Amino acid sequence: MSKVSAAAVRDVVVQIQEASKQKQRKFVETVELQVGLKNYDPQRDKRFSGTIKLPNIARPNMSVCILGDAFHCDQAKGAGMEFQSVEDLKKLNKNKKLIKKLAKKYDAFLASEALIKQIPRLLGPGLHKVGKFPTPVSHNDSLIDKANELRATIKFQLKKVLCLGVAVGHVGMTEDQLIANIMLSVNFLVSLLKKHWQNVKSLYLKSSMGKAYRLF
Amino acid sequence: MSTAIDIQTCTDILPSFQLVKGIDLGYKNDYVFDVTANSQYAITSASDNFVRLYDLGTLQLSYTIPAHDSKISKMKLKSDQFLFTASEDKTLKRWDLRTAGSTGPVQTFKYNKNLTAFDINCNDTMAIVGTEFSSSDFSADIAFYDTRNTNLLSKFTDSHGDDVTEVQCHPTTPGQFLSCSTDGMINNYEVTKFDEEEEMISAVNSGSSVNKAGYFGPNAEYIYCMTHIETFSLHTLEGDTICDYGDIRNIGLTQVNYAIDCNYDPISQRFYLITGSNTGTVDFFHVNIGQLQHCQQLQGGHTDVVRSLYWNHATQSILTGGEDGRLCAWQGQV
Repeated sequence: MSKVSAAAVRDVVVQIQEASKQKQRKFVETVELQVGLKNYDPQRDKRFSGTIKLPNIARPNMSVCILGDAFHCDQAKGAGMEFQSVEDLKKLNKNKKLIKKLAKKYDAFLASEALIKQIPRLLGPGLHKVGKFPTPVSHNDSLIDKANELRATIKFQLKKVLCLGVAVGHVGMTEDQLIANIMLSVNFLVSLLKKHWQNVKSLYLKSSMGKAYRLF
Repeated sequence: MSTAIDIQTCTDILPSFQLVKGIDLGYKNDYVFDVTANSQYAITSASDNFVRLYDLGTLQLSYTIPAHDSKISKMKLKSDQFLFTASEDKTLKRWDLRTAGSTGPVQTFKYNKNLTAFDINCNDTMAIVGTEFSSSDFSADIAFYDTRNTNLLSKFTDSHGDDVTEVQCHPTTPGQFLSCSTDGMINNYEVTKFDEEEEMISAVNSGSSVNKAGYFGPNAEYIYCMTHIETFSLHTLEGDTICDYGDIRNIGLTQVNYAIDCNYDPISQRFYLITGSNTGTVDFFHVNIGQLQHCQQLQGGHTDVVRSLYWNHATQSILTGGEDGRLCAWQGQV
């Protein structure tokens, strides 16, 4: 049973969004969940690391590029999405600088299933190093849906300290959207901890520039 | 679970395993990390940085080796004689079990970063280590050593964007190996000249953080992937997904909290997924495409998370080690 109710989350979300409106920033503030752990030893206990697929897009500004076969390049063109064909990639001639430039230009990549197997040979480890190796997409998938899936997936990793920060949304989302993302994140993270809620010392929510509000 | 994985119970695949003995590490709250065995000893690595050798017949503690100055990330047995341990003290050590490591390691390979994974290739000519991601040079490395003289042969610094969690060498091709990482990738390589740009054959993006990956199959032609969010999937060496079993905690038949390991039995050519509960129960699932068959359970040995399992298929004996600080020995009726 969750120790955090949707009602409690709503209260905090309302406060955060109110505070964010009061002091408008030049960018859309991210909403971050901060988890403080206890009874957990990063040196001995199993790694706490992975991804969470949220119900609502947390990073709407994430730029996605399609590395596509003919089919997907056409689809991308039609959808107004950025793309590169096999020929475009071959033209890079495995030039490290050019590949680095491509890797830096976008936040994430999708690649046609047929193409993705060629990526290591076409590009070498260039995308690996920056953690942007593409996610496969099939002809049955919608490119837009897949790209949005990437925008709704967040990473978390605990590194040697007992606190973890996870981006769960942004202040431009509706209350309900934020609450849904937060509830799912909290329950998922807790489910991965051996002692579940006994491993959680505190939960805070904050917007990028705002103060932290305690949830638990 | 991912699209319709059939879950079944099938009790005639494996014999019933009985607990033979359970041994405690010591007085403090240390964990058993890895367990393995050769013809003479059952062997554990623990969170107190010691390697312990237990007589395989009597399970009496025979030797305690102060193996490293920091956490032992991985321990593997690579032949009846040689045991290897890699550590956050930045060393990989080879131990000769014939002298029970009493005179110290017979070889020490040194690197400049914490070692988090390693393997030795099939003909014991090369050691490959994986490291933690370092914020000083923004890379997680894979380093190659000549096992005949401990010389550093080469290193790859672009292949992973985060901590390397496992390195597995191909069982028959000396230059082939895979590495996986919290960056979500499983990279499959065949090295001859150590050209990082050219020698990555294929890659699998797990979409999350990879805990373990390895080869399996009669010709080691497949790859399994286990993530830190407890999803499990199978892939071809070229990188295609054969089956995605999704979150194994949803199996439902029995309490599955995490995956312990995968195990391939070359004798029966069966592939198993071994899972654990937070209370110390271990479950065995025979893996088929689109199906998991629950075939055995180990209970009564552990009271906490089981971290490692060693399985001798020929003798049907099993060793398990866990966070309760216990080493348990199990025997199946052959």
